[in-house]
Amino acid sequence: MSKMKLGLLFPPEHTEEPIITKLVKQGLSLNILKASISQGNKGKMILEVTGTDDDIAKGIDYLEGQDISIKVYTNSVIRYEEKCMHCGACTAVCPSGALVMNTGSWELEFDMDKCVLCGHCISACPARAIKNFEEVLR
Amino acid sequence: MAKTISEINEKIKQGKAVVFTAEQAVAMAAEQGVAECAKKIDVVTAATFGAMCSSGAMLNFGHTDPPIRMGEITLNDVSAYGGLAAVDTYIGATQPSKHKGIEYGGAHVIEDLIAGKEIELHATSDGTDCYTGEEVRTKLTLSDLNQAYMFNPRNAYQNYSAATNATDTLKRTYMGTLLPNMGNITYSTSGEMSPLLKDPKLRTIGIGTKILLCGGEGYVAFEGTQAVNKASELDNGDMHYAGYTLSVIGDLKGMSSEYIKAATFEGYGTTLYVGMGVPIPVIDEDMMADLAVDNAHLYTHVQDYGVSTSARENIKRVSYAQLRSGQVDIGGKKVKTAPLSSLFKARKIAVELQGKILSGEFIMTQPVATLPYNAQFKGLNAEVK
Repeated sequence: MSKMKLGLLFPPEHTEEPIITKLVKQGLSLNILKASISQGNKGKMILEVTGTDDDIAKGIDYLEGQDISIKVYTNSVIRYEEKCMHCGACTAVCPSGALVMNTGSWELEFDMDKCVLCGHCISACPARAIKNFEEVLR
Repeated sequence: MAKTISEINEKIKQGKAVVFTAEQAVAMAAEQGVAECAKKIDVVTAATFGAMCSSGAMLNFGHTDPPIRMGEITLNDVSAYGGLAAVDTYIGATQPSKHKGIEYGGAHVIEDLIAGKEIELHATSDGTDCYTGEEVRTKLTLSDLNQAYMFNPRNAYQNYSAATNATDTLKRTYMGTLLPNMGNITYSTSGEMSPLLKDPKLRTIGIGTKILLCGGEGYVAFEGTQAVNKASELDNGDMHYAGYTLSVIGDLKGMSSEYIKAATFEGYGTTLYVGMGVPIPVIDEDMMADLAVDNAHLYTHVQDYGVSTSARENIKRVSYAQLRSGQVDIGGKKVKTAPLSSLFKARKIAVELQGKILSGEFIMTQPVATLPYNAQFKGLNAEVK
């Protein structure tokens, strides 16, 4: 089983297809981390998808067939380690425990698996070492 | 068995001095006791790396031909003070740039200068008979300047209140983002590594004390602004120190980008993270007793930063050990804690200073005068709109 975080961008006219149901029927387990969808506007959704590599690939094919653009959120794209001074300000606002201080070395540690992509850390980082993930998407 | 600073300096020069970081000294004192440590250890290195808003740099540009008496001055679009002599200025860390606002401010200019980056200077003047120039725009780097020294009116806070927010709305403060309903607590003191918590009676730190400032050589210049020297004894015999501060000075040209960082606190402003290391000579057993105090016996108050008043109510007294544990119990609620100053960097500075003393590269200075010990902090009695 693999786990992947996907960013979906819906065209404005696309709100009728029950895509979540379709993905579930294809055998994927889904966790909606963020969603902003309304008729006539571009919709955005961040999904955490769990399934076999094969099922995930099929799910992505299905979504692309629906004119939905997809970004895959991977590790290492969010925090710029060379700018990070390990102060810990971001840990104050991280709701999921993805950003924590190692209480031995007092270095900042980031666990992408726990990250819910809320983005609160971006503005809380005094060193501006965490960039908006939408800016750095592949 | 008392030791003088000159005796310790002799040992440093002979390569015989025993130098511990503040954390190492705390650990050794817990094992072997204060008396034994006082005999064995000569110097303890304390350090901090935190946001210090009251910081800035004095710069001298040299004269153009024809010369100009710079009035309105900007460096990379950040205003610098034009009220000094013709080509002198002071750039303050918190000054925002005209176009990028708090995302690029005086702190960033100082950081860029230290990193050797090119800075754009723009200055205008009305022109005088002796200074006929009216406008200059040029690019310069740190090495082009005659003098460039950091002069910070208030650094190295001995102790600072931890922050929480008891209101029901999120607050963006100089203590970071504070979640509503006491959703978090932030704190910004390096605890058992903090220089002024290690010499709380100012017995060895004085005017002229040589320090490590942003990786380069610096000095204690004076009492810091808003210094408060108040200590209260708790029921268990521990001391709770208020907040003495230091004014420090040091040459930008010897500083390292690793120990300085320009920063932006969202919704608040630009600030400068300053790295400072202070050597504390173990002159006697009493000095060692202060140096041996650990995070479990150093305290601060948690205050409600949701309320805008100069006399915030203390919600709870907590030790730095509690703050560093990751959560603090407030009225039955477990509140998450987060540091704002970098303990990782502070530790690095303490180790670097230790190395410089061991190698004989860093010799301690005898203060030329003591710092005022009874500093009081007065408010401003005026109506505010």
